[in-house]
Amino acid sequence: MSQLCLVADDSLYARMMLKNAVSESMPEAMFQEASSGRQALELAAAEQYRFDWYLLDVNMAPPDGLATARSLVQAGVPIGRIALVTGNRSSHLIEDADLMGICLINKAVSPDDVPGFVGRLSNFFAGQTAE
Amino acid sequence: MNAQAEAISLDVLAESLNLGLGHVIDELSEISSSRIELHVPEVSMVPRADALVFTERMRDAGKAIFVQQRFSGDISGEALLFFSEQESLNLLNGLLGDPEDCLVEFAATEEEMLLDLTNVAVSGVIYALSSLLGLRINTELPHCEYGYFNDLRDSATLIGELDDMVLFLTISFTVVSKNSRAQLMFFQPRDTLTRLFDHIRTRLNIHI
Repeated sequence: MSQLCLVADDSLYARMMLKNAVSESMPEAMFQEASSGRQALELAAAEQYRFDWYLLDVNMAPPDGLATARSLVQAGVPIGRIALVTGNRSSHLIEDADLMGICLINKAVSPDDVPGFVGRLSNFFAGQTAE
Repeated sequence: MNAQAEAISLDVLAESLNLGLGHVIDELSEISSSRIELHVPEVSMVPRADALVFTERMRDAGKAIFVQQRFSGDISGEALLFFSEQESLNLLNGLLGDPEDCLVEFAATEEEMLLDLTNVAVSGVIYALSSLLGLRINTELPHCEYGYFNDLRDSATLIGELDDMVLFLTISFTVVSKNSRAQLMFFQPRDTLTRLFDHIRTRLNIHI
């Protein structure tokens, strides 16, 4: 069954990398893209929050990924369907994500890390699907 | 280079800034003893006149702290970390006994902190560019100055020797506990973008 993913990142390159990585573990995945938190929330509302997965960058045009995630949760999206996909490795951010109970996935910094990135995404999807 | 190629190259550079600072954010946090918040990067190819307009903020900021660091290799240019006077005061507040003294000649330990901050931030960005695009880039040691932008050693080379366009990358971060926002800028000659695009196209297998 195809899975509908909302990919929000201000970088076109990052969205491209993320879609490729998601397609590795979910070949039938379909995507909608947002380049800011605001656009992500608008798309989510327009789809009546029926996305299967919400993959949000942290450092993007407002609201940032954490604030976007909070708004999605308030709108009724299960938190397990949301992941923060970020290059930000701040321990403070990890603490914030932990407090919210939201999954945080590190982006690939180099092409060598792409398989690891695919693995991290696959673990997220598998973990939530198993619940 | 066509507009699409330029757009994707600038986008990859912006993401490199993001990934680079994100990679070293805990080190920045440790050096400044504060939580660090990153802001959205901006990358543009701007006419020299626009870059000059941008530096007016630095010229208008009064005395400020500048840390410069050069890099060279597959691409070359200059990185500049900038704290305005007020931000400098915020940053140094509590670290030194008398902020007035420190603004005249701030102490070696604080200078060392700023040099470390710049070195780590620039290294993070260079690491991301090197990893992402397979570039070989060497960084020189940074040097720190407190004063007016126009008096800054080598400030002219940031923009003065360039021709009509400048590749300008900037990302700022806030040192939260000091309420101090640093701006990290990279000034590079216009031909850098063409060279970067060749690496981007090869490394990331982008067909444009």
